[in-house]
Amino acid sequence: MAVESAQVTAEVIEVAEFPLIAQRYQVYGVPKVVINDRVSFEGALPEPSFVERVVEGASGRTGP
Amino acid sequence: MTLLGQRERTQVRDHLAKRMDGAVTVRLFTQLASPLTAPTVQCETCRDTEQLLRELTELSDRLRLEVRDLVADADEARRLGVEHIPTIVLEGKNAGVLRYVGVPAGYEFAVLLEDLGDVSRGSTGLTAATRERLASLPGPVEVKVLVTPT
Repeated sequence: MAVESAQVTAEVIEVAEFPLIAQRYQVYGVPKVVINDRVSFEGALPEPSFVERVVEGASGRTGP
Repeated sequence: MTLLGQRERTQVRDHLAKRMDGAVTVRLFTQLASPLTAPTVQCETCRDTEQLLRELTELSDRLRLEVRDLVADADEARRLGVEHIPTIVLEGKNAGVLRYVGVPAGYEFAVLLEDLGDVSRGSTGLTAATRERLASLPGPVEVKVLVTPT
C-alpha cells in the first residue's frame, strides 16, 4: 500500500530486537498490525479486510 | 565471513534480475563509528545489517546502498520518520515511505526482496478495489507490522 499511495507509510519492525516496542504495543502474537497507533489486529487478514482497517485507522472511526 | 551463502546469493541474484525494473536506493540508518563520539548504547545488530545489505546490493546493479548515521544525519532521519537503528528506508518509485526496523532476517528478508521489486516498478499486486479505497483515504496513515524472526 505504501508503494502505491503517498498517504501510506509502512514500517516492519522485528520486535525481538526491540522489546520496548513489543511491550508498548502489547505484542503477544505475530504478525500484529497497528494502524495510526489506533486500530490493531493480529494474524493475517484478507486484502479487503486489511484495507478496511487501514481506512478506519486513517479516519479515526472504529467499526460497528 | 559472508552472511549470505553461495546458493542464497544465486537465488537472490536471479530473483532481483527478474523482478527489478528501475533503480532502488537502500538507505540504512545506523550507528557509525566516530572518533568524536562514544555512544553509550552499542547497536549490536547494526553491523550485521550493514553487512547483509552490502552483500544484497552487490547482487543487482539496480540497487544502491547508502549508509547514514542516526545522530549525524538526524534531519534526514526525522524527515523519513526514522527513530530506531538499524532502520532501512527504500527509495525508488514508491509513493509512500517504506521502513524496516531491525535486522531483515528470515521471513523479513523475503518481504524485503518482494518489496525491492515492487518499489523498483512502483506497482504491486494490489487489487483495483484496494487502489480505489487508498485513493480516497481521509488522511495520512502509518501501518506498523510487528514481526518476530522465523
